[in-house]
Amino acid sequence: MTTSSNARTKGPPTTVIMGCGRLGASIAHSLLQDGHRIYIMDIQASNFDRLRSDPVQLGLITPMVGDGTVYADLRKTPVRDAGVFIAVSGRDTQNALAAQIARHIFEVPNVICRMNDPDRQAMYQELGLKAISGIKPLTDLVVRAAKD
Amino acid sequence: MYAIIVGAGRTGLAIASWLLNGENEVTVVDRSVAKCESLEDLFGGVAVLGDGAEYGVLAKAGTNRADVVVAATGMDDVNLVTCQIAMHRFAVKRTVAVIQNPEYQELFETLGIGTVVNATRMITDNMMSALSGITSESP
Repeated sequence: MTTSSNARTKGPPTTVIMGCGRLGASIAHSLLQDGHRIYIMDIQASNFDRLRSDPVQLGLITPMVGDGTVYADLRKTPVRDAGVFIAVSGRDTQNALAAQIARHIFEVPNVICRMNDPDRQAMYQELGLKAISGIKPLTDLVVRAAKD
Repeated sequence: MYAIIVGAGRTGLAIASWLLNGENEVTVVDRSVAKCESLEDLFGGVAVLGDGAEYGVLAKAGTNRADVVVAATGMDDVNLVTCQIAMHRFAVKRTVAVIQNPEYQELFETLGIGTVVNATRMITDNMMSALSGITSESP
């Protein structure tokens, strides 16, 4: 059995995604192209309908019904060996909690969390998470489009 | 002392009432209009409507001059983010968070929450000590 550190440095990165909405599914498909082995969690099984069937059948994307803020559900995924954890549910507070669990309890080295609120994004960025927000890029797109 | 309580459930209301009896200044933040109206009826002038895990709402509540922020909603994620904003954006020195999921205690402490009130653990501890005298096997 490989140790956690070996699994984290050798071979294709293992990535756990919380939230299989449009964003989560899109990220899963894109990281698959980059060679990631994907485990994606959602509390609602019907959200996995967004995933392409081929990579799921080939075992390259593994959907798992579960809550990314519940330790027991996280332990069913290979979170302890994961190099990347991505919290992209629709709720900032859930993403903040899940991301900090991944960082501090399961010691995932690369933790990314989505924040709708730019204030929270700035704060979690300072606290060492890779906090991302779509508000600014979307605003820029709209402003540019409004000029045309 | 100035205290901000986020969450006007039974816990939040009881703490607000106790603090007000002690002549402290108290603001209670809740996102429910009905709860804020009943707060005004009960205590008068203490309610702020909104999500306590938002910077702007905490700013409106005067968090910059708060001595303590108590996050007592029923949602552990909201309580965590509320305390983190209070600490890291308003430099509040004392934070208290209620948690329902007992396994979060270590995480919240690691993240610097001053006091973590582990509600479920308190209930189960009380229950186990009440039952320990009458059960046939005590572990």
